[in-house]
Amino acid sequence: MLIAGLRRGDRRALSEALSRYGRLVSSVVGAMTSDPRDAEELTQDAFIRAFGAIKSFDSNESALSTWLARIAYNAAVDHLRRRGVRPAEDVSDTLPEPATEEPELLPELLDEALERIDATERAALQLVYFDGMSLDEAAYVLDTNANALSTRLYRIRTKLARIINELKRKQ
Amino acid sequence: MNSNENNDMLRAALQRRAERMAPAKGWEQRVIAETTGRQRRRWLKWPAISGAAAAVAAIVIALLTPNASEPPTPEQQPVIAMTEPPRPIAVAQNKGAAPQKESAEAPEAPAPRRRVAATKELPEEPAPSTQIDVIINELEIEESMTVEQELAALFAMAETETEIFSAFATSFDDIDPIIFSTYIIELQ
Repeated sequence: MLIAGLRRGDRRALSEALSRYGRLVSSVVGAMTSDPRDAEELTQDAFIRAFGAIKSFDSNESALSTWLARIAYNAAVDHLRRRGVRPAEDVSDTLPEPATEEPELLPELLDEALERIDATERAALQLVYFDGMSLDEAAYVLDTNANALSTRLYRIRTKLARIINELKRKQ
Repeated sequence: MNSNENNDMLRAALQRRAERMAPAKGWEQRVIAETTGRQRRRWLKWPAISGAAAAVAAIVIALLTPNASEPPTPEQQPVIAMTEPPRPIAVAQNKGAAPQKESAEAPEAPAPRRRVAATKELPEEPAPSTQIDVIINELEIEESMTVEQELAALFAMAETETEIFSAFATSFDDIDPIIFSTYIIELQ
């Protein structure tokens, strides 16, 4: 019903989609920028882009939420490229398996550490740990596969722990 | 510290960051306005294209036939009859021996009779200067609204592409779509 309404351009359907998925989309783009104004503009642009392309949405391929999140992620990547920021490449497949030991994260320094990792790394964390997506769903958004994403998430957490340790030494 | 505690801390940190980056209230309205505006502009593209062609055609026709839509004044009718006498008489005077044959072979066939006949068939009341005026009059009489008001009401009521399209079809089905599209351009 919602998708049919969006395809018709029904105003109530637009409003419902914004209400239902606004938090998800703003969460994805918010993870990739450090400026709330940019985040707001990107959220709007992502929805405008998605509603303009709603006829190409295939419900057999993905859920509407993950499709919207993917458009939001791509809009944010485009935004970063326009700003001259080069998103980190996903090199999980080329690296050896990480150690199984879980690094320790300290809450007082975690906020600052999150600002120091790459935007796409924050987005991966956001999708899985905050938005509650499965590895398959998050992998679809990030255009990778679940195994690579799992490895990458562990590396990001290790990176966070290393940054926190560095911050602790400086204190 | 176990993994679950780390996950909870990470989730809490991500939530704090998401709240800092959350858009201000009212951002949804711009998305709706922009999206519905794009849909309307997309629907208005076709009249813009055909309307531009119609406008050019209307101007060309108006320039080539400036009096076509206006009835001749009473003074004009005798002038036409006097300045263009029947062709056979003129041929007979100039060619003499074979007036009928020359007359039949004359390459030009001005039709003074047709002009006079057309003059006689003109309506008694002066016709509107353009077809657009006809549409305006019809709309004002039938709807008690100007075209601008009619379209404004139409856009206010129709929220989707389908509704706009069907409203065009039902509200303006008695109007030439090309002429109607000219209105759309004028209103934009």
